[in-house]
Amino acid sequence: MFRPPTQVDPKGHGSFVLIWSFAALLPVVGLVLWSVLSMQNFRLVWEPSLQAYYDVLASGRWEVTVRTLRIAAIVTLIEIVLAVPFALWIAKGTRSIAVRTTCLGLLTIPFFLSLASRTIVWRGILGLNGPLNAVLMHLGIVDQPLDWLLFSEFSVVLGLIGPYFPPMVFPLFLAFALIDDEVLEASKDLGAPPSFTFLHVILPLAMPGLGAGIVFTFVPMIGDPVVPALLGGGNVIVLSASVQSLLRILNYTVAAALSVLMLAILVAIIGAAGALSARMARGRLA
Amino acid sequence: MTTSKISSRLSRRSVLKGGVALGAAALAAPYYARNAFAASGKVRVLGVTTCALPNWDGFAKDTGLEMDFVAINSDPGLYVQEVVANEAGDDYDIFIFDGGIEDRLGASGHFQVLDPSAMELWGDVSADVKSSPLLQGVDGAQYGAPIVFNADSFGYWVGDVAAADEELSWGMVFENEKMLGKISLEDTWLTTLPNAALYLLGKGAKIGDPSNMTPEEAKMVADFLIERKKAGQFRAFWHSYEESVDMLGNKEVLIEECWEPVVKQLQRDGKDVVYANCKEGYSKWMIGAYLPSQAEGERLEKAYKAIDWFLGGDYGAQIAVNQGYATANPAASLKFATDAGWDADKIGAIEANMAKVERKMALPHYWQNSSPEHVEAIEAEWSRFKQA
Repeated sequence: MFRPPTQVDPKGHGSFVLIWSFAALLPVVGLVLWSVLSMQNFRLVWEPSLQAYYDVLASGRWEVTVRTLRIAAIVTLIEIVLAVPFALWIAKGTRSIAVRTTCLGLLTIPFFLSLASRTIVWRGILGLNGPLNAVLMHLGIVDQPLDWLLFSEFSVVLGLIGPYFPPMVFPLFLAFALIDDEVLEASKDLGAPPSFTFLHVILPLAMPGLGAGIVFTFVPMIGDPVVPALLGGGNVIVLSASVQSLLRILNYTVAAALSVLMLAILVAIIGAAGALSARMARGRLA
Repeated sequence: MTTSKISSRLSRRSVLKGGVALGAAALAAPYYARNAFAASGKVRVLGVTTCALPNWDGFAKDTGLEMDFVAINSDPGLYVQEVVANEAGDDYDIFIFDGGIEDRLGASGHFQVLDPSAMELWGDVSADVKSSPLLQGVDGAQYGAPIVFNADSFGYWVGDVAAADEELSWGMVFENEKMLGKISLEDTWLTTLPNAALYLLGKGAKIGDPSNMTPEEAKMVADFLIERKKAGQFRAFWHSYEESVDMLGNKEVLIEECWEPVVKQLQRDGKDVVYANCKEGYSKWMIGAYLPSQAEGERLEKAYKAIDWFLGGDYGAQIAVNQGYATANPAASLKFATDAGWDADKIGAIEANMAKVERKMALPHYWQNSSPEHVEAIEAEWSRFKQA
């Protein structure tokens, strides 16, 4: 009897694909379908139309996709800059198991508090009458409180950095920890300076971790409703807020069209990234 | 076949079986639950949080019924979905929602027309209140009974903005060069667009009904708001009660379009803020009780008995003292509080509330409409303003 090398029952594969199709693909198909239907008196009616897409463009809603992607990309870049040295230090820098366990343990603390309660703290700190403005004015750096510290894209980006730090650190830490110390020793013995070892040995080997980190931060940030609502003060409209506003008046078709638009952009980005990395891999092999 | 494979199959099948059993139990549960409700002396109400009392002892004593109040957010989309898609009328005897919704849900047959003769206190409710367009359908059919209502404006810091009892224009909020970046608005088209329309109306703009604007009128108001936004007029938009208390309270803004309890709470905390008296009029809202078309027989009798209680003095007195809102029959509220021997300051609060409501109702105004005819266009204009 034929048995695949992984010893997994091919019928098991089949049912997994089936379940996955129902759970993940069906909603997407529904979304696409809704976006080309019409609404009458709070009900969907079977009248195919592209009106919803026209509405997305006419009301300037398409801008939320651009803004949402921009904010998510900026924060993801910041997370990479912060998390790579930190994860590398925990994985390779410290030899003390106690320090490592403590650091990793501390990273889980945010999961015990709700995102809203962690975020709301920034309001007090960044507000016009908050301590940060008080310090800046006391030091004579500014003579008027800075209003862009809160209810701005700046505060949203700042607020997103904290919650999305652990999801970037964990996969990077795992990837770094899996690199054999002897590889690093070999690089050193061959006379490579630390920067060369980092760029040409560590980073290529940690690519899967970096990829996972980007997926775990960038993708959920696109749907995050909490931080932009609490720190954006209604001035930073992201995808989730725009969709919620539509659902509140049961405008399912435009909400679906907006989501389909975002999905298409995401698929295009991921496709392009995949093609790029495939080309890079071929280049290396050749 | 290997043993591991058998066991994995078995476990998968047993998991499936277990799932089916669970699913069947879940489906059956509401059926049993519904039957239980029908037999008991319970009134099931799906209502917005604003109308809930901390306890319903008075209700139980007067009606002999048990109140089962399920709170729902004040969100038109949410309750239309409950009523239309989830057929909540099967499970609830009364809906208490923001008025305006009956224009659509009455016409679609989800609400039934009220029978005035089924309520003892209906005759005591003033005709002005009963005939609010937020209780009647477009054809004039009476779908709702008035539960609570008020006329909203904005709160402001007395020393920084204006004197406490000065009569102010909505221009303080929307077109105020002295207060650039010192103003916050409620993050919804439902109140903010009509309030801005009310201000423009006062300046001579041609707008028919601020709460039921045509797409062209909504566009004009949004264009004006975008211009003001670009001038830096608005600091932020609030989404929740707590947020609005916080923003005005810690002087993040000096003027805030808000609900009256926000100002009441800040005053209790010793802050020098007041609720504005408006020249042009107010944003008037009303929450009504509506009967699902499914309610009949004994269920309907209980529902009418419950609505009758809401029209009485006990409920009105509690709402007036706790929230400063108006109810169907203020005279009955005063009588109830006096008969029950309430403190002088509570009775004073009820009297002050009555005077306030009378003064506000005398002004030209519009009724906040959660379900305007061109809601999609209005929301799209609002979104355009928020994007700008």
